Amino acid sequence: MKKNPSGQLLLPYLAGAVAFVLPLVSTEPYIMRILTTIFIFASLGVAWNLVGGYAGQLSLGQSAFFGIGAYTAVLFYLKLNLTPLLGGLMGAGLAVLAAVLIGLPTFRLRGAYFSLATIAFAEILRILLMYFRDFTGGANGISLSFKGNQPWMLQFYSPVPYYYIALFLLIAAVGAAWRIERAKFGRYLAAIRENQEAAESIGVNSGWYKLLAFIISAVITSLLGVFYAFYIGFVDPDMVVGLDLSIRIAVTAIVGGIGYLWGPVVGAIVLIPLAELASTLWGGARAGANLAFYGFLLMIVVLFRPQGMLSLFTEKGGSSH
Amino acid sequence: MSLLVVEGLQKAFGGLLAVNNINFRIEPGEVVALIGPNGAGKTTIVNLITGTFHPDRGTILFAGHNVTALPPWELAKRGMARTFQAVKIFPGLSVLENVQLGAFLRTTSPVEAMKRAEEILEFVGMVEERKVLAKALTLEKRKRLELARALATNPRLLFLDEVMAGLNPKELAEEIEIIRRINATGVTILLIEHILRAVIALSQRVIVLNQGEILAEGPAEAVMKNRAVIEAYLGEGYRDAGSS
Repeated sequence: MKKNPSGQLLLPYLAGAVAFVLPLVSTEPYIMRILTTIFIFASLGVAWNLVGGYAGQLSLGQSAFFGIGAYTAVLFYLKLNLTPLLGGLMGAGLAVLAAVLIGLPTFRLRGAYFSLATIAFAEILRILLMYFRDFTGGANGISLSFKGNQPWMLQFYSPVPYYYIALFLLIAAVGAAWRIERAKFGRYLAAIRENQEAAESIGVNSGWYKLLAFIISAVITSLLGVFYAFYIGFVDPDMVVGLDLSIRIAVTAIVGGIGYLWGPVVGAIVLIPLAELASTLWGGARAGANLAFYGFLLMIVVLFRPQGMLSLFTEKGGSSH
Repeated sequence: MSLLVVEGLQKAFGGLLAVNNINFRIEPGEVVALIGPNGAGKTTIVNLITGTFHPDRGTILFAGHNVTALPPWELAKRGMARTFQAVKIFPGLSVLENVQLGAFLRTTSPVEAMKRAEEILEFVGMVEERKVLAKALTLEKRKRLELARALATNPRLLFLDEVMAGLNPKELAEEIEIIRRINATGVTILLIEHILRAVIALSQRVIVLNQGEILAEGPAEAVMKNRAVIEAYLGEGYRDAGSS
């Protein structure tokens, strides 16, 4: 419903404007890196939210799509010198295929089958990437050698272009979610989440709409994977297809505000700096410390703010329901 | 042409034959009541017709087409709508949003669906509650909301599964009036109801079900004088009360 347009709705535009002009003020690489990471995770959370929030289907295998995008684009670049802009499209296509493969059999069932299938799929993919090491580099991953400023290859000297691309991807993801949320499609997803049987009785083909949401989520996630691979200049199976990543994506959305348009954005703004701080404190000595930290925050939020941190800023928790 | 033709419908759950060789027709514009004791198979029949369950045997023709075992959403598109005995609303959405979701079946425009929802809420007398979350409603109001949501899909055949249970006499009179008005707009209705006053007031025809089989069928007054019906469902007390 329409909310007071002067108050809370202004905040995202304000933040967006600040994000746009910030590099004019400072291009400090550290700040650029944190913000770029925030944009990436916010976008990943927004994509997760389409399925996990709007449709209420808990995906714990988003890293599969992220990894498909990352590896497809990297391999095409490496083997055929193909621009990631095209390789990324191939990756997105493969991500659609993967989403159909997971969603088609499981969306007809109720309960945890879908969540389990997403985990299983991502894990199988991760193991396959390790196994075919001659082609994929195995557990060592693949490093992209930097060959100078080549925009078409997503290679830049400066962190600023990456920053703007990530910001653009976030705006695109939020824009897509905003459109979906307000359309019949988004309302039908809410109906499925609220009561699937009732939704079907008023004409909602629940399996189809869930699949469609999952496909869109997969495409967005895979494109972010493409970007991330070329931004970092490196991929390995644990980093881009690991269960850790899937959990971090879901937690970002849940902590921020599950099912709310701006929830994942708030989640990323809160979590990424905190995770950064945590890894500085613990020195990354144990990779698990980071994840334990996520788990701890998740517990706090679920116990005290089940609607997510977004509800701290807005009375009712944002603009979705 | 009959709007609905049910032929040889049969469904077993494990060893229990819930519905056994059911045959009936519903003509366009009719209000038909399906009555019978608890466990007689009334809701199962509705679930079989509306696609929730698949029949083991039998055919269902809707508007001349074989619709046996089609999924619920497909049947909704073709013009069936229902309420649920165990109410199934969208609890976290507002009353208006609940009804808007029904209206989306006939339009993709949120504005149009909202307009239609407003009309329906006006029609069923729930305008004041439009902004209320569905989960905050009383059970009786939830049933009314389900009715409104079903109506918003613009159905040809409406299944009402005990929408009047728990209503006080004033609310009951109101509900009967609403159903009458729905029927007057050309919607055919299959009514599952235990409240005989409502059955008599609304239905042109009554089908009595007992242990998964049709026990009697006909106009309400005639059926309620039927010996077998009195014994199986109404009880001896009813005959005594009726004759006094």
